[in-house]
Amino acid sequence: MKKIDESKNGVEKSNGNEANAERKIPIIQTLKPKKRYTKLERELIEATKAVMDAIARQQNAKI
Amino acid sequence: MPKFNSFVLDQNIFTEHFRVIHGNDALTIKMRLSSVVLYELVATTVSADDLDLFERLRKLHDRNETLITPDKTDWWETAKMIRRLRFGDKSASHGLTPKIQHAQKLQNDALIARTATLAKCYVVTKDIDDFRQFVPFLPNLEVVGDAEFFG
Repeated sequence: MKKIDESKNGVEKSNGNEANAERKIPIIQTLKPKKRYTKLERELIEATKAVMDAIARQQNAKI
Repeated sequence: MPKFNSFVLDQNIFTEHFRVIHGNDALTIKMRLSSVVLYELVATTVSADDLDLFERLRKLHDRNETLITPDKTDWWETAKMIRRLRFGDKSASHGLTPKIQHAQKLQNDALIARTATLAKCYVVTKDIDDFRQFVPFLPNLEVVGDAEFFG
């Protein structure tokens, strides 16, 4: 079982016997989604998705 | 973990990690948009329809006060920073002014670095070394690589 060592913000620590058990959690995993977004925030989210779709199109890639 | 709470994504992060950004609302809300990065993205945009999408994003970030734009002081201080970088190189090259191969990229990176730092944001980029060269001039600059950010 793994737990977050709060004294080392963002560092995952095992309480097992694994050697070198500490490793960094990617920062993106520490970003917590809000339960509710404002209207402007929702618009920002949708506009960002649309731009990411555009970037994907430029690269002939799919999301 | 970076000491700053918010972050600015470099242009190469948008073009390489667009799928993750598309699917992560928390990231979208937490990030600040750099006008310089937006310039770099728009300058490579070919479709007029897509241009409207970037324009909408710019306006929304402006309204949300999350658009980070260099002002006249930023331009001046960045010019001095680049000059000092080149001067340092000059002394190492026996008095010859070194040719900066990617002068505009250096300028853009420096503007992104300065304005992000002043806005208390760290910079997420694939080009960590390009940004870390500014640390002697911007002691509070924090640079995070895409591997550390996205895993």
